[in-house]
Amino acid sequence: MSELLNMMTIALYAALLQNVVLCGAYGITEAMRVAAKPQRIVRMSLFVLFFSVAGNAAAAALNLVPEIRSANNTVHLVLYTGVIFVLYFITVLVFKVGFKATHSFLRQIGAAAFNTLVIPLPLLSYRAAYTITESIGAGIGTGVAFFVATVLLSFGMSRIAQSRRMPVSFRGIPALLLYTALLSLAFMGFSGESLIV
Amino acid sequence: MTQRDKAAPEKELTYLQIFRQGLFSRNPVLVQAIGICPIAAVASSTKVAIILAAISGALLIFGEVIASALYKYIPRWLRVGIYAVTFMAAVIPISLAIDKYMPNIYISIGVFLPLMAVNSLLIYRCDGFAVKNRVRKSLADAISYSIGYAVVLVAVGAIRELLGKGMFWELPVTATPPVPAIDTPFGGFLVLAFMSAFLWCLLYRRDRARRSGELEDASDEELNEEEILSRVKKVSAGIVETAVGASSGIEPNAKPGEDVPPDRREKGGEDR
Amino acid sequence: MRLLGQDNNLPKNERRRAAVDRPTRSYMLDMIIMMVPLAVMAVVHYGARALGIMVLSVLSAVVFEGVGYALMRRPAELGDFSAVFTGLAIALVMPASVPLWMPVAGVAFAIIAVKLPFGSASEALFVPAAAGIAFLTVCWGDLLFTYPAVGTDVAVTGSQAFVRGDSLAAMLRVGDSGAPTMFNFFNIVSGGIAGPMGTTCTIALFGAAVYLLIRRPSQIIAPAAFVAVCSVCAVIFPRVLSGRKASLTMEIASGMLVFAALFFMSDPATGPKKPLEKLIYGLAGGSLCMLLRYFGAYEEGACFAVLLMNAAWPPVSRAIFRRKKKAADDKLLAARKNQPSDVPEGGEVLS
Repeated sequence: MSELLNMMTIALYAALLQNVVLCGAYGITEAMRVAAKPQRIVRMSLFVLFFSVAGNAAAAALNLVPEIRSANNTVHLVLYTGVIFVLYFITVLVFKVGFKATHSFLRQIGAAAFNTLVIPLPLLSYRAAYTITESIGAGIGTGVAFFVATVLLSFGMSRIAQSRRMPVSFRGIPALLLYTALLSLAFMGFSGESLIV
Repeated sequence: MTQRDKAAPEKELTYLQIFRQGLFSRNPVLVQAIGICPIAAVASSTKVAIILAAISGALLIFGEVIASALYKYIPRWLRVGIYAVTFMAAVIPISLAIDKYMPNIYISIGVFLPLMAVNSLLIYRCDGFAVKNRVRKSLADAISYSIGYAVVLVAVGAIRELLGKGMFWELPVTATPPVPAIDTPFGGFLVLAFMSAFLWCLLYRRDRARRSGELEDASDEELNEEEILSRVKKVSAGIVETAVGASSGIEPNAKPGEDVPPDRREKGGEDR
Repeated sequence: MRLLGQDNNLPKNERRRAAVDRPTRSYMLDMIIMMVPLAVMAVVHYGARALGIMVLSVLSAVVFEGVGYALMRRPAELGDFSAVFTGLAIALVMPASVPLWMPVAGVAFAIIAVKLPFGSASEALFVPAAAGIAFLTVCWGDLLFTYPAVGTDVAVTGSQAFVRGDSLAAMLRVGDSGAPTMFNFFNIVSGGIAGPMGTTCTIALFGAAVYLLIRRPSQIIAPAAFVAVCSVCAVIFPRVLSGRKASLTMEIASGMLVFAALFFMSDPATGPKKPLEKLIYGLAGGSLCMLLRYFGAYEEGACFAVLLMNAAWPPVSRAIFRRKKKAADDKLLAARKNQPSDVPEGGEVLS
């Protein structure tokens, strides 16, 4: 029971209290791109959730092996990326062969698997010495964080687009970056200047 | 090359155009919003920024050359994974070298060293440009985008170190940090936003100068770049524009309410 | 100074003379009138320094906005008094002992980074004053939450030595339940305990709320809901051991809770328009404020709650009031079909 609570606490922190995408800038490019196409938000968030949970859980399971746990950073890097690559490969095969997915759909799977949000998660979980359930919690939190960030950015983008009196130099990307900065500031009320994950 | 790559031939860009795009009119961070993660998160000191710039430059050049030479033959649906694996393999020797020769930097970069391998900048340029172009053009593209990214990285790193820590090159400049929050990702986004606005302002001014004929010797190549610039503006505006006001942000010289014909720029480009 | 390009997006008649946004000006004037009793109490409790901070803050806000509009080659829209409002709001939540550069820094951030880049006051995406206070909290939180004891002198200029007082917010944070026995009720609500300059006198704040109720009844819904949720939370989950009534008094009278509710949650540009939506907006904002107070990093999180609500309201309202969703989505898809389809290299991978 306390394990479950622990897992949910970590998920809550990663997702809402210290949104890793907005407060830590992980995966922010990806979030901006997905936010520009609102119809993809749910699909991409689900893929990110899948890859972060499965990847992190698998990495945590690998860490149970003592030789792996005490290995140096480079071995971890190779291993964790390999884990995510295997997951990605299987997923892409399943969708390509089983569901005859289009090419752009498969590219989105690739984007969800290899971005600056999913890849560092196993490394950070290793540093925080998370157990398997805690790693799953971190993965869930990461997926939810991505969803929250993209939704907030998407609505921000549409409000920016509807602004009539915005200075010309700020239209588009600069206003979006500034909006992200203010979102990050808003979430800092919970986290202060540090990030737990 | 697959069938799809052949079906949409890219306009051949000259080397000069490639160089100017990567640095200026299509700066990956400030114009296209690519590769922001390391900049906003860790580029808070000049030394670290220079190291990161060097690493990403090396990775980009290596990656684009290999992608251009070899990865045309890999099926499209698998390419993203292959890029990631390639870049991770390339990051390993870099990571070991930095750990050995610059252990302080290694600790302060932390997890962002492997992150440079999945930096969206690399994947975008490789999949968007390198696999569709020849090796030499890809090399030029890689160099120019590396320089563009490096300029932004080092500028942001310097500003953030100066304002956020009151230091420069890890030597104290002021007694207390002028603006402590600039150290955080919030500060990174803030600095990037204003740098981006500044660059867009310069781009608009240059675009306006060309339109009003101040540049007398507008060569074919520069007109071509104007077309490209207007396309960039369109797409960048398209990233943030949704249903309402789709064209209001694009044409700075149009009076509001005036309908800008969508092919106006193509007409202007053809009148050479 | 052609640092930023000439703004050709404004309608032609607005490029020459300053067009005053009358509804915004009327609203801002109401807000400023509401802040006058707070300013008076601030001077009564803390002396001339409070007045100096307020004047400096308002002046710097007007100057920054004027300079910003000049850089943008636009006629300055100072006539809508939003700069005055921002400056005064930031000043009133400062401790009277704050170094003089701090409100100026907060005002600079609020005007230059939050107000001007997003357009005029009526198109704001975040409340500039709330963002300015949040910025100051994050940068210099320890300075912002150090208050002088009431009734002692704080030098207007010169050395920063002053007698420190414990604020209610700090007491709540550590669960110190000595306050109700040391101070009486009237002392607390009239601003007798150390705190931000303009927000300690709860009586004056409620007087301002009455003014808002009379002048603009619909704008009181969100602040009332905000304070109501905070009160309920203070009663159900007290942070001090001396009873629920003490907890309620201390929570409401501490920090900038009522101030933020009254002046920021009622902002018509960033908040919803319909009464039911305002109610939900206020309830959600109040919950966030209490969450931040209990679990956040700072002793006062009301400004962060305002920013979070500013950003989160469009998706939340879309989720709750789904009727508009289909119409908006149809518009979106129709416009996307008309967009240019060629994408330059580099944008194709993940679009």
